[in-house]
Amino acid sequence: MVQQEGYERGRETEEFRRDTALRALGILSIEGGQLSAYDDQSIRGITTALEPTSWDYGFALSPKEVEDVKDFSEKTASLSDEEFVRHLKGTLKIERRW
Amino acid sequence: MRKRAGQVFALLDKVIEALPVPSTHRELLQVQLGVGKERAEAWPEMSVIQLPLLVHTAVAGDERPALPVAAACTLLYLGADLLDSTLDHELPPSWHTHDSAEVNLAATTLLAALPQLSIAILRERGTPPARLWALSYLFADTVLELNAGQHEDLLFPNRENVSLEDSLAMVKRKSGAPYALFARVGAVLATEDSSAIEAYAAFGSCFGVAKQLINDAWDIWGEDESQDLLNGKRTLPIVHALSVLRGEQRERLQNLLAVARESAEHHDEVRSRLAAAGSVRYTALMVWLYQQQARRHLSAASPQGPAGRELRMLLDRASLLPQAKEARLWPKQT
Repeated sequence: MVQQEGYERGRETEEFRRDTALRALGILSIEGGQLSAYDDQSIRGITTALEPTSWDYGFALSPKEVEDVKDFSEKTASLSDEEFVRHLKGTLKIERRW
Repeated sequence: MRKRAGQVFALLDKVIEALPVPSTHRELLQVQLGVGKERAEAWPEMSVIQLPLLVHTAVAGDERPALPVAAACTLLYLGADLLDSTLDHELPPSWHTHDSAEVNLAATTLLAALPQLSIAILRERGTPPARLWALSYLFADTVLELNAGQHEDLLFPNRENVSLEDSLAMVKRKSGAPYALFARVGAVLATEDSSAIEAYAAFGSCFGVAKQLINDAWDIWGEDESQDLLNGKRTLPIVHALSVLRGEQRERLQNLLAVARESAEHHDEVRSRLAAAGSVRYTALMVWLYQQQARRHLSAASPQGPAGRELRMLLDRASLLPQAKEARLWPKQT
């Protein structure tokens, strides 16, 4: 199997804390930057300097993923959560899952 | 795409018609075959049919030799779908007159026996034994991973803390593994180039995860009544919210999730709290990351011709972003 960049690293070495990285991205995704509710310095740092902070804290994001996250942030900066929900409810067509 | 679906189901009709079983068991299998046909009619882009055929065509220029493996993938899909519908209490109306033992028997036959028999058609067409064995092993390996993922999915509602990584790993087993198979078998039949085969498999895995996460978001926000909330499922948006919320907010969500299992009355409040926790945006981000990875793997595989364009088009649709926001879809080549 081809190793999928980033996503497999947490299992290869304990040095990388994949779940912490995912949780940090999760908190970042809260609209309006309500970070005062979370007293996690690493997560505050990641908002201002994604790349150095993520590596300082051993976050398992590959450089390509960091680029993808930035790309996503740029594309969605003007989108509200309501717009995401409207898209899901109104226009998105889905294939039946199992 | 509709034509391909028609060809695969025509082959499946023949496979099931030729089975040396009593007509009662054949009719049972035909019930689920009918479910599959209805679904393909409504959604001809069905990945289980399109991926093996498009990948084979993108490598070897012809889809016909891959029809038996596409049929085998569809049988696996129909069996897994039946099992999942049973677990989630979502059996389609055509199964309502059958008892659960019959449903289980049909799912077992579809998952464990029929894909191998469909692959056996390739023997008559001169496929070497080593390749037949490789294909057969891939199906067994995928059913193992898929069922392990389904089992985790069942157990998560009763676990106190499910991490985001746990959740994504489960999705990768449950949905990434079968999609990896759909793409891989098309490549295995078309080439011996292991790097191309692995690139297609990795593309399939990422594509499958992205599609599952889209389904999970759609179940919560796209429908008035969420089947996942009724089933107490811990899908990624829910795991996300429980991971980032603290104290009273987290406790309130946990209580709401418990009552949301009883009726749809509180589903709107759950949706609001999940959205306020950033869960819809987070899920869109994860879909985006997997979609981008899938694009890189597909680019590495270099699919050729119109089939390559169709594969890219299918992947383009695996997104939670409104299309206008996807100005640059394909990553830069490195």
